[in-house]
Amino acid sequence: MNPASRGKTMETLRLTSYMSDLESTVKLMYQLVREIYAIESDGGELSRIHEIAEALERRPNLTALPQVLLKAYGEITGALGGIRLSRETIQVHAVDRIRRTHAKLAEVSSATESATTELLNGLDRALGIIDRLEQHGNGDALRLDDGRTAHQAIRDEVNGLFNVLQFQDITSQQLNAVNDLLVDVEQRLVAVALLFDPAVGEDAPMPILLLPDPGAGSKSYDQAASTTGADMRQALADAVMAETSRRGHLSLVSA
Amino acid sequence: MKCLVVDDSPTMRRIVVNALKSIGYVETLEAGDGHEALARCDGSVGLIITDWNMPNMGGLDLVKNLRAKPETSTTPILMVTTRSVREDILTAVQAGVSNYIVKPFTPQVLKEKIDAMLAGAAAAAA
Repeated sequence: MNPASRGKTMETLRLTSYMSDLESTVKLMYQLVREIYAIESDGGELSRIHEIAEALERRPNLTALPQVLLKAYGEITGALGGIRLSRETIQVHAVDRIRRTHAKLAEVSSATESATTELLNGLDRALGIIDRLEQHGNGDALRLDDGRTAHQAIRDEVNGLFNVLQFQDITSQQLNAVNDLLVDVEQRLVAVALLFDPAVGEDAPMPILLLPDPGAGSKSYDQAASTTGADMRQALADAVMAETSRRGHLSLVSA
Repeated sequence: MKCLVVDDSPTMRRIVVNALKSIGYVETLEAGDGHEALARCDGSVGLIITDWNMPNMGGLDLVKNLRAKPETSTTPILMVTTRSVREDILTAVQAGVSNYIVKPFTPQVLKEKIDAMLAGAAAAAA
């Protein structure tokens, strides 16, 4: 145990001792009042009052109590200052960083979508050019080893590129899921910061910039969307479809 | 045959429409959510391809609504989604989907599923 924490433990023990003294003092004061009432009504014993008074005198700690309370007040005020700093640290470093990350992800999503649209436009134009070349009959002479005409081979390549662009839809769903997660983390951090210092939060509430999607009840993305393992996942889908058609889907669903 | 493609992502709609064209389905309609799809869906639509996660009305509710309408109660519906948990697939089947594709998909898989659905629909009608 380091000296600082040992000192705090000693302070805590002393404070506990003061509190115990205070409690017993209050009890003695209560007994004293009762004895005085008894003397007043039916002539109680004065000796009992002396005993109580002596017991009260044996509580020298009570004179130190105001100093202890003042010291505790000072320490609590200092701790609150530290907590206020923690709240500001959370706001400045954590929440602001989350917001910047959110903005970056939105930029990535938008840039990817724009680029994909441009690529699709280019591929559409390429298919149009292939159509025109085919109409002019310029490609029939050239055949590849697999028997396809050059036009068909280029068309297959372009169609393959179309297909590759599915990544944009999937990564967009993944980015949406990450963005929702960031919103959730930010809201939790703000809640924690306000727990630290609720009074400050009431005066100047920390604004939550990343408002949740209003359509959050019907999310337009799959948080488990993935570009990998498509063959395996399709095989599972095929197996389930085959199973349902074999056994009747209603019994499987309710099982 | 007219195909209705429902997805809130314009990119995905274009990819699915292109994939459909590459396998011979050139007549397509598009919708961005379930409500729009219901408004566009009439007796002339022979195949519906829908995403699951969409704003306003998602794919699952769309499928239930389509199955409740006499003109689309038996129309083949293909769910194309990233969701691939067994429980999700069973839920989609219970709602009334005819087949299920996990994104990202290939045009070959799309063709296989459409062929299977249309064959099943033809057998049921015969």
